[in-house]
Amino acid sequence: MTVQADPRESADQPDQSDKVRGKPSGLGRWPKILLGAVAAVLLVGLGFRILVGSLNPHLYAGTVFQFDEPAAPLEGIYLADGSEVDLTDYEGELLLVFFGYTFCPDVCPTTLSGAAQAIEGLDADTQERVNLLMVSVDPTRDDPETTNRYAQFFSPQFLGASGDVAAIDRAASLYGIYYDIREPEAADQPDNYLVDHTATLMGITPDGVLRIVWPPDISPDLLRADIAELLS
Amino acid sequence: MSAGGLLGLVWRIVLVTGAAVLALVACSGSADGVVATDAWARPTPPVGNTAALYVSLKNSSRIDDQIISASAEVCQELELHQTVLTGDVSSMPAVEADAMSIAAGGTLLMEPNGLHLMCLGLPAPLVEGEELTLTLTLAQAGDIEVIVKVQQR
Ligand SMILES: [Cu+2]
Repeated sequence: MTVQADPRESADQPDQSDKVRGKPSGLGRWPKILLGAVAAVLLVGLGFRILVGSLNPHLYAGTVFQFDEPAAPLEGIYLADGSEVDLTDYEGELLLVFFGYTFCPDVCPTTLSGAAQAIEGLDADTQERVNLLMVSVDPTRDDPETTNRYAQFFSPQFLGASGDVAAIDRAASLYGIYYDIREPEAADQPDNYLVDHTATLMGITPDGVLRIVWPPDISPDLLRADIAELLS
Repeated sequence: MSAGGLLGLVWRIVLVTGAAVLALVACSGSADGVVATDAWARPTPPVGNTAALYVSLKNSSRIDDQIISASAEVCQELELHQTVLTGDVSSMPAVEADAMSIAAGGTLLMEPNGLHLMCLGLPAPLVEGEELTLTLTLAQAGDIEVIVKVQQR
């Protein structure tokens, strides 16, 4: 044993300078091993993601309906150019529908600017295939032009529409929208009143079906992911 | 006047004096006890004449405080409101007194779809980059002025 050790020691002696020179290459091996390990972890991770992605379909943040009835026509609801809203104009694209009113200080601006942010974050091609129509639930103060100016403030892509009480009542009931015009808060300011209303965002998919409903406080990120999936 | 009546009167004087002293102490001790940590409003559309102002207030004093009233020159009316989502239906009842209170050491948070100051009768839309001055009257801290920044968020 000692005999074996002796030649090694003697052989190591002249190698010492080599070893010193070799040290950097010895240490240099570690980054390579680390790099390999990191690459392996990344590859496994990527593989896992692809596997999970193919097994798990997109989880919608909105409530998805499983029926194929075409969305109800918005009879008597007019756009700013004087034409009646025709849902077939939006076939092949996504139409988001929102019922609100222009004197709405909190919920409507929050929902509409959130929708605008969601859409702005999509790629240009997808953006072009998204429309948003705001239908007023305040026939007295909101004519089509007023509603349209309000909607376009949040995005030039948005449209506003309105109609008479009967048309708005019908549209609201067909779309499951509740609304209630409240008494003015001060008797001397009859124009300052609030409207309680369902503040969901609804999605009519390219096949013309009202397929999805989002809650009023949906985050722009979740909304964007759902829109991207609906148009993919 | 009976002894009992006299005692009642004395008590009333003591109470009123005590309250006045307390109020004085409170005013001097917590003049800057409540500060706005964030105050903003979204730019508003060219139609409709309403806006929501969101002001978060921190009470670093040792006395609970409460918003008594609010006003801003640009708002014909300014009311403290709470947006309430019942299911998906939104309504905006004027808030109960406890929603206007700021506990000692606590913060009152206003935010979209929640507590907000609702401004009615705006003469012109709020424009990004503008600032408006808001005066809040608090039960303890008295009047505080808050600069509200108009910005997209
Ligand atoms: Cu309000």
